[in-house]
Amino acid sequence: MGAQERLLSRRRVMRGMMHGSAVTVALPFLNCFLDGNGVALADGTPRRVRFAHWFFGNGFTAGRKWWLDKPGPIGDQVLPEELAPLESIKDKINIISHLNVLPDGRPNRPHQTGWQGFWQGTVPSGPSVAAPSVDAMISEAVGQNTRFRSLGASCTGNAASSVSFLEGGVAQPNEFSPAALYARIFGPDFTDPNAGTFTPDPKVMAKRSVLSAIKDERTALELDLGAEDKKRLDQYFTSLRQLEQQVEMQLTKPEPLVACVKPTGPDEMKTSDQLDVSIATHKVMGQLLAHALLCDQTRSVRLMFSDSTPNLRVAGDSTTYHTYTHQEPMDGPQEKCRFFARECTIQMAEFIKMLDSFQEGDSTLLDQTLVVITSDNGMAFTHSLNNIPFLTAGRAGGAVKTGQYLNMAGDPATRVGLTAMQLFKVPVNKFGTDSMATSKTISEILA
Amino acid sequence: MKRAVRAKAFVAGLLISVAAIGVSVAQGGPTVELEGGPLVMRRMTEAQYRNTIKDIFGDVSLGGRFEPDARANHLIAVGASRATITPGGLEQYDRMAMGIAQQVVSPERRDEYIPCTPAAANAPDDACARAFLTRVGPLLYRRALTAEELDAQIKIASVGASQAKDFYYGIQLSLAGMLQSPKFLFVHERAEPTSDGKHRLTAESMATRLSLLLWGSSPDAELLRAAEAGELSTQAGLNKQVDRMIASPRFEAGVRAYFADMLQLDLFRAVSKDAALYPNYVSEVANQAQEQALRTIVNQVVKGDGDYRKIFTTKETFLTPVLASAYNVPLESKWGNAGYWQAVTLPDSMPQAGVLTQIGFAALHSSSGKTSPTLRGKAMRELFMCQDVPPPPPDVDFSQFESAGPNASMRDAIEAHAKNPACAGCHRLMDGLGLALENYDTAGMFRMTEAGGKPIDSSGVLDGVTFKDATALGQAMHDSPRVTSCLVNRVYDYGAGRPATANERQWIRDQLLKEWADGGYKFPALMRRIATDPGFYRVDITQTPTGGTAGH
Repeated sequence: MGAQERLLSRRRVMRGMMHGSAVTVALPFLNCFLDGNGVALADGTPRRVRFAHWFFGNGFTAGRKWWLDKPGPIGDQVLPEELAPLESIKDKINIISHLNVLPDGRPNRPHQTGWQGFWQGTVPSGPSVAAPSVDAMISEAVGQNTRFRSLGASCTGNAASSVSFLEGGVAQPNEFSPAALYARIFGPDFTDPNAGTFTPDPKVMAKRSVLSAIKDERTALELDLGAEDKKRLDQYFTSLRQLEQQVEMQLTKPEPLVACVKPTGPDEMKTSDQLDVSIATHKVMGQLLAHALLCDQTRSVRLMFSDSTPNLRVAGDSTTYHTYTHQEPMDGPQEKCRFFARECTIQMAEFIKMLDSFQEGDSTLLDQTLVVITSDNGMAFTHSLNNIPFLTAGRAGGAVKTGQYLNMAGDPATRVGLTAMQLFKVPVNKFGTDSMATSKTISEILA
Repeated sequence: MKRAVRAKAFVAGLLISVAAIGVSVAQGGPTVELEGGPLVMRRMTEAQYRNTIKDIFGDVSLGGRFEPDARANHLIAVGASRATITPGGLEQYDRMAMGIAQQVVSPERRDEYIPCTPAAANAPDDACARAFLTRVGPLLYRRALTAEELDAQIKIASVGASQAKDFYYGIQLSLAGMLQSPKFLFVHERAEPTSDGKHRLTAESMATRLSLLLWGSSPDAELLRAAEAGELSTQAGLNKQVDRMIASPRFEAGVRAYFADMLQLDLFRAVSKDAALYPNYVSEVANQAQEQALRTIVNQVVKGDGDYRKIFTTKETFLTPVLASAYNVPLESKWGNAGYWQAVTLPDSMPQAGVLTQIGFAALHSSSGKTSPTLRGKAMRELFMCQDVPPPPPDVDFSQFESAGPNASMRDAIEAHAKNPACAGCHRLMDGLGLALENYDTAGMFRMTEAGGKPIDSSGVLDGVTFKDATALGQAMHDSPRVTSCLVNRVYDYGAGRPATANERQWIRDQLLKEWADGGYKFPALMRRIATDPGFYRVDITQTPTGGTAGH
C-alpha cells in the first residue's frame, strides 16, 4: 500500500472539490461501492460494481491499424475499420494500444505466453505459471458475499480452454453448456431474491454438519503430505469453504433486487467452434451471465468468445480462422482474417450493448461494470507479443471514465490488470514479475 | 591403447543411449532390483469415479459434470497426481454426491444397500446407520473406517434424520458427505517401513494401486479383506488376488480404462467436423467410434490371444448400423437399434486393419475441415512410440504452403516441412507417418482420391522400415520395437500414477520388456507381471513426486 494509492485518493478529493457540486456525490460514491457496501441509490436499489473479462483469440487483423492517432478523448473521431462495430458505443469504451508482453528471452509459446504474461503477470520458462490470474484475484475481493466467487463460460464448447487461474495456477474451467450453466445458477439451489417469503430448508441446514465434519478431517489428512500435495489439499479446503458459504446463503433471506428477473432456461444447444454456433452460444451465455450479475449470484464473470487458438470456422470451409492467420500474407487483402476479426469485434459490441440494455436503478448494468476485453497476441501471423489489444467498457459505477484512447508506448500489459485489481480493492500495489512488473495504474481512465 | 579405450567407451555410451530411448538391446549381467519411487496423491479421475460408483451402487445416474481431468506425461492417470479440486469442481461433486446418495436411499434401491430396517422411518437409528456405514464406508475410503470416523458419520446421519424427520435422509446426508470427502476423492498413498530398512506401500495403498491398475476402479470387499489380513505382503497372497482380479469381468473395464487414457479418447469432446463437408460425422459416430476402438482392443488383448501388437493389424472389429454406414460396410444388421454392436471380420478387400485406420484414431487427431498428417503423425509418435515432439516455433510462415497451389496433394502441400531445415528436424518424425493415413479423410472415412481427384500416395518409412500404405504401416507398427517398449513404459507409469524413475525405467528395459517379448507380448501377462512384482510397491521416501529428492 504505497504512495500510488494515497495519491489516487487525494486526486479524487481534489477533483471533487474543484467540481463543486459533484463533491457530495463523488466521494462516498466512489469509495463505498468499491467496498461492496451496497450504498443505495435514490430508488433504494443497492449499488454493486461488477467485473467482466471478455476474451477473444488472435487480436485484430495483423498489420492493420486498430488504434487512433491522437491519445485522449475519442470524441468525434471515427474509429478505424477494425473497430467499426464499436462506433455507436465508442463513448462507453476505452481503447488502449501499444501494451506489450516482455518475455525476457523466455520462449514465446504461441497463444499462451501472451495471456500468461499480462493476466498472470509472468512469462514462465516452463509451460505454466503458478500464480492466480487478474480475474481470480478480483473475484476473491468482490465475491465474498455472493453465491459464486465468479462464473465463466466458453462459447465454443471447450471447457478446458480457460485463462482463469486460482492461487497456485490452478486452472478454472469454463462452463461450456448453456443448459448446465443455467441449471447451476438458476436451478434448484437458486433463491429468488424477490420471492417475498423465505423459509430456510431444514435439509439444507443439515448439510452444514456434513461440510463441517469434512473440515474437521483436515489436520489428520495433511500430516504426511509433501509441500506440493499439501497445496493441492489446501485448494480443496478453500473450495469447501466456498461450498459452506453457498449453504449459508441458501439459509439467509436475500435482499430484494428489483433488477433481478429469473430467466427461462435455454434449450439444450449444440456447441462448437463453427462461427454461427459460437455466436448463438455467445448470446445465450452472455445473457445468463448478465442475469447472474443482476441477481447478485456473482459479481465477477468471464466469457471467452473464442479460444486463444481460435479454431472458429465457417460451415463448409475446411480452413479455420487460426490457420488463415498463418496463411494469408500480411501485405495482402487478408480477406478471411479480416472477416473473422470483424465477427469477433461484432460480438464484442453485442456483449457490451447487451449489458447496457439492462436497467438497474437509474443506470444500466454496463454502467455498474468494468468490462476488460483482452486477446492473446498483437499479431496472429507471428504470435507477436507487442501491441496486444486491450479495451475496457463500462464505468464501474462511475470510477472509470470512458470514451478515451490511450497509447501506452510499449509498457508492460500488466498495467491493465493492476488498474482493474486496484479498482476492485485487491490489496496489490504492484503486479507482475521481471519485465512485466509494474506499479503504475492507468490513471487516465480513472474518474 | 588410449584410442581403443576411448572407442570402447564411445560404443558403450552409444549402446546405453540407444537403450535409453527405449529400443531394447539384449543385455547380459545382473538383474535390476526395483527400488521404488515417491508416494503420490492422486485425484480420482472421472473414469475411476464412474467405475467406482458403478461397482458399489450399480446403475445410478450421476447428474453432474466433472472438472476436466489433467494430462501429464500423456496420461490422465499421471495428471491425476497434479490435479486439485476448484470451487466449481467441488460444487459438482457435491451435486453428484447428493444425487447418488438420494438414489441409493430411494425406496426402489434402499433394500439392496441398507442391510437393516430402522426402528422408525422418521427418526435416527444409530445401529442401522452403523450397519450401513460399516458395509459401504470401506468401499468408499478404500480401507476400514476408524472408530472416530464411524462415530462422526453416525452422528451426521442422526442429525440429518432428526432435522428432516426421515431416517433415510440421514443416511443420504452421511453418504453424500463421504462421497465428497477428500478421503474418497483423493487417493492418498502411504508407506510403511520394511524389515530391511526401506519402505513400501501400506496394504491399503497396495490394494488401491492394484485395483486402479487392473480394474480402473476402487478395491472390492474381498481385496480389502486380503489387504487387512496381510495377505498382500506374501507372494502367494498377492498372486492369488491378482489372478482373481484378472479373471474377473472387471478386468475388461480396467483394460478399457487404460486404453481410453492412452489413446486420449477423452479429447473427442473437443472434436467437431464441418457439418457441410462431413455430414455423416454426427456425434453418435464419435461416441461409437470410441467404443469401437475399445471393443476392438479388448477383443484382441483380453478375449483373443492377448498379443498387444495385433491391435495395429487386426481385421476383427465391432460395428453398429450407424458406424457401418459411416464406414460404408454392408452389415447384416438387426435394424431398429442403432446402437447394437456386432462382431465383424473385415474382408481383405477392405483396406481397414487395426486401430490406426479406425475413426477413433484417424478422426481424433485431425482438424475440423481437412486432414492433418502432422497431427496424426505426432499422435503416433507420442501415444504409441513415447517420442515427444517439441512445439513449433512462434513465427512460422504458413504462406509457404500456398505456393504448392490449390490443387496440390496434401503430400506436396506439406513438402515445405521437409525442405526447410528449420522445420525438417521435427516434421520428418511426424509427416511421413501421418501421410500414410491420407486415404482416411478427417472424419475417418476411406477415400481413394483426395480433393481435386488426385490419387493418394500413402507410402513412407517408419524408422527405416518402408511401407506402401496404411495397412503396411500397421504391420510396421506391429513389428516396431519402439512400439512395444513404449507400451510397457506407459502401462507402468499408468499403474504408478507418476512417471517411472530412472531405476524403474532400467528394470522395465532390462527385465520386464524382455520377459514380455519372450512371452509373446500378451497384455494380461504384462499387467500380471507388474502387479505381482513386490518391487512395484516399494517406496523411496527420499523422493518427491516431481522426481527431485526431498531436502536437497
